[in-house]
Amino acid sequence: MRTSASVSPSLTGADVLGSLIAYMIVYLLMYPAGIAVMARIVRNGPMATDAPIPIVRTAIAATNPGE
Amino acid sequence: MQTGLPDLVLVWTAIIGIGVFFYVLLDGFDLGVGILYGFAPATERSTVMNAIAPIWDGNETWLILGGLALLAVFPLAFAIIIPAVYFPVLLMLLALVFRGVSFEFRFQQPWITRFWTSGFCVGSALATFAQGAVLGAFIQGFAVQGRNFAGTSWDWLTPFSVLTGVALMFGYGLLGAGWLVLKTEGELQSWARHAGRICLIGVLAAIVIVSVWTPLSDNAIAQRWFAWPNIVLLAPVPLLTAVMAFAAWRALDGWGGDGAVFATGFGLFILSYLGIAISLWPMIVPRHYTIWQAASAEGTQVFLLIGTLFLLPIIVMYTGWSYWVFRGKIRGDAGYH
Repeated sequence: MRTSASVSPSLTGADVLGSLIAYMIVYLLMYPAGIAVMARIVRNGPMATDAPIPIVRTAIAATNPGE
Repeated sequence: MQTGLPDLVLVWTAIIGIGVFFYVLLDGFDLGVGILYGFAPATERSTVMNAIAPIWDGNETWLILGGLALLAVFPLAFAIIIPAVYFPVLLMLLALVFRGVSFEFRFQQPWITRFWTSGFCVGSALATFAQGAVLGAFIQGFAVQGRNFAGTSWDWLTPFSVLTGVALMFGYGLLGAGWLVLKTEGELQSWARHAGRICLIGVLAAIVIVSVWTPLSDNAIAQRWFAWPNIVLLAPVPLLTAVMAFAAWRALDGWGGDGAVFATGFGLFILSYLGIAISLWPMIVPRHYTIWQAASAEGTQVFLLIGTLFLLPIIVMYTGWSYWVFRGKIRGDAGYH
């Protein structure tokens, strides 16, 4: 079956064009906004609360020569 | 083909029916919280969002289950219904994009917080309206010629579908208010009760209007409800709805504890859902095709059922687990973000 034979009969070219434009508008808004979010996260750098809790050397670790 | 299996069409109808109801209940309350978010006091907004942040995305699983099962098991219904509701489905998807990213962007971009605040509220409201309009268009039925949808892409837009769209906004708002009552305390909780009251009034008005409108506009639906002996057998549905409406009203006063608003909202939804199912049964394309006429081959149904029966318990298990992990009251100082 060809694509032209399987398309929904109710769907006109204008419908498809309109929905494509709607998708384009939404994505043109979302991608710059997403890039701005990521750029901000990078610019701010890691926050103090993001750092892992320091590991305290215990007696067992200190006596282990493989450390 | 006689295989000795139970009627799989009924099994699949139950799976899709229950799956769609789960969707309406679960995504319903988080879309409702999204709508209420736009009206909540500005200082409480992050708590409102945190009340659904850990659990909202899993709720859309059920929409995908319902949509794909409709495509695979009832392809004829899919081919007629989906083109007919092309634009509301498009509207719903685009609105869900705004709503979904608002969770992530709002906290990162305080300089345009207002934009994402309205994106969250308006996105939730439009997605809800679109779902309600799809339901309204479905109940009214579609223009069908042979095995195709014969109308235009804008046939869905009628006074009735606008009514059901607005009705669902009130309905999801009620579920959302019920969820907030369950998850919050103090001033925000009293605010949620007040918002729930407004939504409940809207829901009850919508139930009455739809219950009068559908039998008047469709003789088959009138026959289904009012012919003897159905009028007696089906009487419990409207009676229970009235009892549930009263219980919901009392629950908003504080009766029954913090879970009662959500529970009675759930009750109103399940009764309305049953009412629609009773009106339309056994048609899956109203007035044209029954579930048996629209079903795919039995081999396809068996094949799909095997996979689904493995997956469903897994979905139910992880969904239940995530709700369990994030149980209890939400506090302003401890969030998911």
